[in-house]
Amino acid sequence: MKISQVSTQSLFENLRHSMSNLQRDFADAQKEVATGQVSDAGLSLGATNGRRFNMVNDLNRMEVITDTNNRTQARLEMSISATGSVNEAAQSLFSTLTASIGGTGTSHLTQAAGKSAVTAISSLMNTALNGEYLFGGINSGEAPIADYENGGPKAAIDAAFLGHFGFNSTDPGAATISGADMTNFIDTVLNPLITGAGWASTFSNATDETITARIGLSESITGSVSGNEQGFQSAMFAAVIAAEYINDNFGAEAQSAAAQSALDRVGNSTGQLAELQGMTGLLVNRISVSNERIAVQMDELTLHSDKMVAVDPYEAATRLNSLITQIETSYTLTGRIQQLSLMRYI
Amino acid sequence: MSLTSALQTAQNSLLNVTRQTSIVSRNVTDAGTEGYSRREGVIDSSNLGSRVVVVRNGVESQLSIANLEALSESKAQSLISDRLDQLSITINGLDGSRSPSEGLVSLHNSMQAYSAEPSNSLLAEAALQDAKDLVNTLNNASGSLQTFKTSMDLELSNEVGKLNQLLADFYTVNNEVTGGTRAGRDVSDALDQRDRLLADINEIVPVNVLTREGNDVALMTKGGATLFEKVPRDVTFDPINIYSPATTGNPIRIDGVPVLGGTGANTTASGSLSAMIQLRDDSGATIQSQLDEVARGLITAFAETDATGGGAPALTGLFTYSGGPGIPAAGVLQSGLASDIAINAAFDPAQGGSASLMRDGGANGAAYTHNPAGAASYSDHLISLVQSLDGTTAFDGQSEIGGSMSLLTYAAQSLGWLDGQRSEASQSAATKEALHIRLSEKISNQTGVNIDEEMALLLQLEHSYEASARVITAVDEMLATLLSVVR
Repeated sequence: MKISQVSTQSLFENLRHSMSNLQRDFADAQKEVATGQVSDAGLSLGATNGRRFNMVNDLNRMEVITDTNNRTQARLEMSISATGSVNEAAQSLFSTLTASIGGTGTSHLTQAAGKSAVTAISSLMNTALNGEYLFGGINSGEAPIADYENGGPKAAIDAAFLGHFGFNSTDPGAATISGADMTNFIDTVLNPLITGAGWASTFSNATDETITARIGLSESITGSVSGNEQGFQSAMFAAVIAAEYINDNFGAEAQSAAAQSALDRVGNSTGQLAELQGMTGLLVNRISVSNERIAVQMDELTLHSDKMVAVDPYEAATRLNSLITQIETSYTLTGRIQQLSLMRYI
Repeated sequence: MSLTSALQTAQNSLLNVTRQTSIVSRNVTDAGTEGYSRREGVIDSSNLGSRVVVVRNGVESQLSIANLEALSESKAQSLISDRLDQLSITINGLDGSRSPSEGLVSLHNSMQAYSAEPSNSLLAEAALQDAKDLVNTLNNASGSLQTFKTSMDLELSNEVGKLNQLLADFYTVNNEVTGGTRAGRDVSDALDQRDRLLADINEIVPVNVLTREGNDVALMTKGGATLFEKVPRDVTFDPINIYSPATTGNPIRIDGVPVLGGTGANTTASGSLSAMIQLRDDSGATIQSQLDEVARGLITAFAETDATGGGAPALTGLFTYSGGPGIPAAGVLQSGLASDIAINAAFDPAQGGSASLMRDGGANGAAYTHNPAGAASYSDHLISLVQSLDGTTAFDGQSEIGGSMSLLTYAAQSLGWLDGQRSEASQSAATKEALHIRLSEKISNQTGVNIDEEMALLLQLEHSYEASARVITAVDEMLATLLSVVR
């Protein structure tokens, strides 16, 4: 008799326990149906949740890198187009110089072209984006190219002329300079002043060191173009020669020698600047490649991390439905059991 | 046999039936009382006539022991599961939303943005703000842990008080049982009460019950300490009001023997005392050490190195602590670092520093400056700092997540560790609770009252009463007949 006995209390307690369990499950299932995710990722994944956090972290980090990549890309693309413009300025100087080698009486045109090239190159190289000078290297806070007329370069170049020849370039004595003297002056005196180490002291505030850009979680590239690149130096050199030494103060021989030197430098600069554009283009390309790779990785990571917490919506909906049925049954049962008492029959 | 004796027997029967009815009525009254054992009025025949003896429904002792054990274990497990959930929310926020891991990612992101535009001082400020937030997260998490330990001590102290009270009650009730048994009284009520007290005591600390002669019992804890023998033994505990990460909580002593905490998420703890000790001394300390390791990783990752190549030691950079500017020893847990970590004043404009030191370095003098010219767009140092979050370093195995990994991975693993514990604890809690419910149901079925049965019994008693009454009437009539004949 004992074995079959059921105490009234356990009969009701049992109902109470199963009801509270059902209701708890119901709340969870409801949340799962609404969100499509497990109700508590930590509880269902346990220690594996650490892996999911790692994925979500990487996702967040990659998203920011994509943003910063766009910024770096904008800077590099602007540098490419500015470099192209410098090259165009040099090219237009080239045609004027070609004319001045053969003919006479065009020297004032050449001088004007030289001066405008100096201005154009300076202003192009001082292009700024968001207050950052594009060609400043890491020293982006200062304009990389000093103002030619008033900022020092002209004074330094004039002083060098005076030091070499003993008179100024505007002095009537300048007419006596031979072609060989002119070539010698340009190659031995002016060259160290404008190129190499002289470039930095005469013209440039830019640093050789460029901005490094981190374009992937573990990938860094050169993120800017320095104004100290040889192509810029050569273009500026040619423009300075044309602006200063091709005018009627000088004899025809000296003018021609100067024009020849300038032409050589323009020729060099064209090649160098084109190469620089190409190199920078490659960097832009690396950023695009990195962005694509990040996009693919992000897709994968999203897929995996979502999969870890995802619930099958059909399964969840079915579960919810069956829970509703169970709870309803349980309610009915409670009512019936309450009525199931001998008291009602005696 | 005479008519008089028939009358007497019927009278006796009426008396027995009323007593049995009173027992039935008592059973019905207490049908819903937890821990009430059904009484049964059994007729005992003796040469003086039959009388009703109260028999209390008993339980097989094996079942009772199993039930008490299941009760202790379920109580401990559900406590651990509950408190771990609570800890996880306080320290890491919902789904890790306020965790150090999340803070690290924010710092990474703002530093990455800064490295892409190092001339922008607003971005420097933003990165510094994220660094401050991260420091706050660590400080607060460590602070919450101390509060948690303090509140554990408070709860422990309450439980100890409750246990002492229960033991005092147990003493009274046990005396009633032994005294009553000796005097031959019905001690059912006292026995019920003692069983209930025993269950309450088991929720706090698991006990072995040694039954003695004359219904006396002695209680021993599973750890072997004597909790009750004739008189209750002392349970003592000194709570600590203010915890620091280095503070070790005081033990609880039962009769001088310390109560040991359980281990593992599927805990070996049984009873609330050992579960709380486990939470305070084991879980709390592990989470603390993980926070400390994150703090140490941060200080090390952002340490400044000698830029001149002169071989001077690395010194604290953006993040520092009371032991700065030297950096903490590599690979070794330094206790309390999470509370101690702070933003280096040299980086904080609010304290007269400069956020651009993140870009240039040099908080520890010129030799540590990576950008001596102060170039506006120098990004190499920033990038190396950001990358260092991904660099592998060794972490102390004492924090339960040992080995070489990146700081970011470690922080994510730390979240995973707690979730692993929670998940295991919650599953075990469900299992242990189910066992306890099943067993107590079984016991309730064995000892409890079924009202229908009582009703049936009542019907039977009614009939018996009617029959006895009829006997009395019959005898009365017979006597009347006899007397009328005589007259």
